[in-house]
Amino acid sequence: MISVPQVILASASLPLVAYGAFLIRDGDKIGGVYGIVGGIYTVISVILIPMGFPGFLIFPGAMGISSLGGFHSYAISRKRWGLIKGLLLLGIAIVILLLQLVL
Amino acid sequence: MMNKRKVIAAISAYLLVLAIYAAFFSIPVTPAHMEHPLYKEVKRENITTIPNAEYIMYIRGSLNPAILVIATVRTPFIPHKTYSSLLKYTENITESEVKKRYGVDIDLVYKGEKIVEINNHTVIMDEYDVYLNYLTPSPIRPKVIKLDVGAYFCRENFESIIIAYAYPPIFASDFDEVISSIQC
Repeated sequence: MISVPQVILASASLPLVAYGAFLIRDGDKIGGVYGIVGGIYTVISVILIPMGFPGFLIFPGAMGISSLGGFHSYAISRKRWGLIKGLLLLGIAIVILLLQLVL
Repeated sequence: MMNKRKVIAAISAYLLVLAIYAAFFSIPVTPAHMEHPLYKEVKRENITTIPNAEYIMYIRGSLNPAILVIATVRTPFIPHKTYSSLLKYTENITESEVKKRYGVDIDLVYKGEKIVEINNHTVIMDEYDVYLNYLTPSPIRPKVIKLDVGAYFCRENFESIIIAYAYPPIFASDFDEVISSIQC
C-alpha cells in the first residue's frame, strides 16, 4: 500500500524532472538528461524503500547524479558553470549524507 | 558566460526538493506502541519537530521496575547505530529513568548483539549490563539489570522505531512477549 509520506517523498522527483526538461529546452541536453535521470532515480528508490533500499541514499543519490551531469557538461564544453554545478551538488550531497548519519 | 536563467532555475529546483524533504520529515508520526497487561504508559513526549519524533515510556511497576521506551521518528532509513543522536537520546532517557527509579548511579557494560523479530521486522539489538551502584546494598534489589537497545524501519508508515528496554532479572521472561507486542 502506498502511504502519504511515500507520495510526498516521491514528489521530490518532480522539480528535478522539470529542471531537467528546462535544461534540455535551453540547449543543455547533457545536464538535462542527468537531471531527469536523478528524478527517475528518486521515484524508483522511494518505491524500493519498503523492499529494503537504504532511504538515506535517496537525496544524496539524486544530487550525485545531477552533479555528474555538471562534470559531464564541463568535460565536453569546458564551460565553468558545469564544473561549479558539479562541485556544489557533490558538496551538498556529502553534507546531506553526513547530516542523515547523525539524525 | 553563466546563464542567469539557468542559475535561477537550478536554485529554485533544488530549494523545492529541499522543501519537499523538509515537509516529509515534518509529517507527524503515528507513535509505535505496545500492549501488555502489566506495562503501563507513564509518559508520552515529542522529541523533535524536524524530523518529527515522539516517544512513549512504559513501566512495569515493582520495587525493581522494568522500563520500556519506544521512540518513533519520521525518517526513510534506520537511524545509524553509532552516530544517531535520536538513538542516543532514547537510550539516555531510559538510563535516566533507571537512575531515577532505582535511585542509583549506573555503569553500562556492552555485552554484544542479539537479533529479534518484531512483527516481521528483523531488529539487531545491542545488549548491555547495567550495574547499579547502591550506596547501601540491599539483598532484595538486583546488582545488575539488562538494557537492550535497537532500531528498525517500519516500511508500512515510513517511520523508524527505536526501542530501549531495561529490565531486572525477575522480568527477563517478559522480553519476548513485550518485544513482539510492539506495533508501528
